[in-house]
Amino acid sequence: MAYNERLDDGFSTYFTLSNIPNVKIYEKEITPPGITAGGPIDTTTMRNITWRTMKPRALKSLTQGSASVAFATESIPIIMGQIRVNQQVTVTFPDQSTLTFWGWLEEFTISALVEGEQPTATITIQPSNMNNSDVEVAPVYTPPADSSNG
Amino acid sequence: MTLGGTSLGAGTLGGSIWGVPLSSVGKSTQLLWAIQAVVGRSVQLVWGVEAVSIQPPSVIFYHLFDEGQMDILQGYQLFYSFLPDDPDNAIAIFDTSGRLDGRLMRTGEQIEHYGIQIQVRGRDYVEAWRLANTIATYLDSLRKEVVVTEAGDAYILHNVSRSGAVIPIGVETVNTRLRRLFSINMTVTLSREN
Repeated sequence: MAYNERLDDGFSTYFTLSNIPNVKIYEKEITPPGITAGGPIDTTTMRNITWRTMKPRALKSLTQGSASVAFATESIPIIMGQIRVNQQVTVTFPDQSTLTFWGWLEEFTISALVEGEQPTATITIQPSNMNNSDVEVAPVYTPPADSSNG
Repeated sequence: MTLGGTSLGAGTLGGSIWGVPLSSVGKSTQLLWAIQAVVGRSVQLVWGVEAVSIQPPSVIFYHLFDEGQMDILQGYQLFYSFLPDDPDNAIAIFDTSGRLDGRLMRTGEQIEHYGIQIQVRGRDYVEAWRLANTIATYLDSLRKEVVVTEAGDAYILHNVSRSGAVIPIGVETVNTRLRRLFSINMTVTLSREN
């Protein structure tokens, strides 16, 4: 696809966990992490006249990401070993750009298994924004390799 | 047995496709001809090559009964993709609309549950219904059934999900003979065995 252009299709987007890049989970739907200021600080006082006043917080948060995945059962013990283990997580977008952040696998929930439907699980990834030396690390966006024509 | 509407008999080949007696050709050729007859054009099948050798689900179902389950059919002749005027007592397996179940992001593989309809036609209402119900019950019992086609390709029939009970779909009259029709509708989960 053309690089650095509007994304018109979600195919294909996937997570890669640096400790288990080849774990047998197969993404079907992805919600990448979002960015939030964490809500306003209300600075309204008795001296305000008409409007309440607000200020943004100083710190930003990277919100949880999630995915609906098909899986092989052999991934279950592997995920057991990786739940709450801080590691680098990469989201690869359809244009091959990436968003890499530190975080951990917060949840792996197997959905109801139904006759005639593919079993799936939901994984939730909690960003930590902190490496294993307890140093704050910002998420890094890497543009596609060829972004000159954007 | 029948293949694509032409009786093959239990080990005895009979009938013809395009005027050529089936007894004169091998089973793989018969299968190829039958597929060509179905799609209405020449099909070049390279046996054993994944990209072109995938079989229509109705054909795989046909072989499911061919591989030792003929007793269930109680002597009714079996066809796939069409139901000819003769004989009166006959069963046909059709491909119908299936259901997509999402796509894998990394490979693009579409998870698909194929649609299958089995029609049972018979002179006797009770007998034909009972046969349809027996087939339906048999299909309910299937779990990870390995089916090998004429070409030697092996498929795993993971599951059959019927959409409902046996449906009576009416009566047809041919030369004053009444024939009762029943259908069983389902989606199936199939994969190639590695």
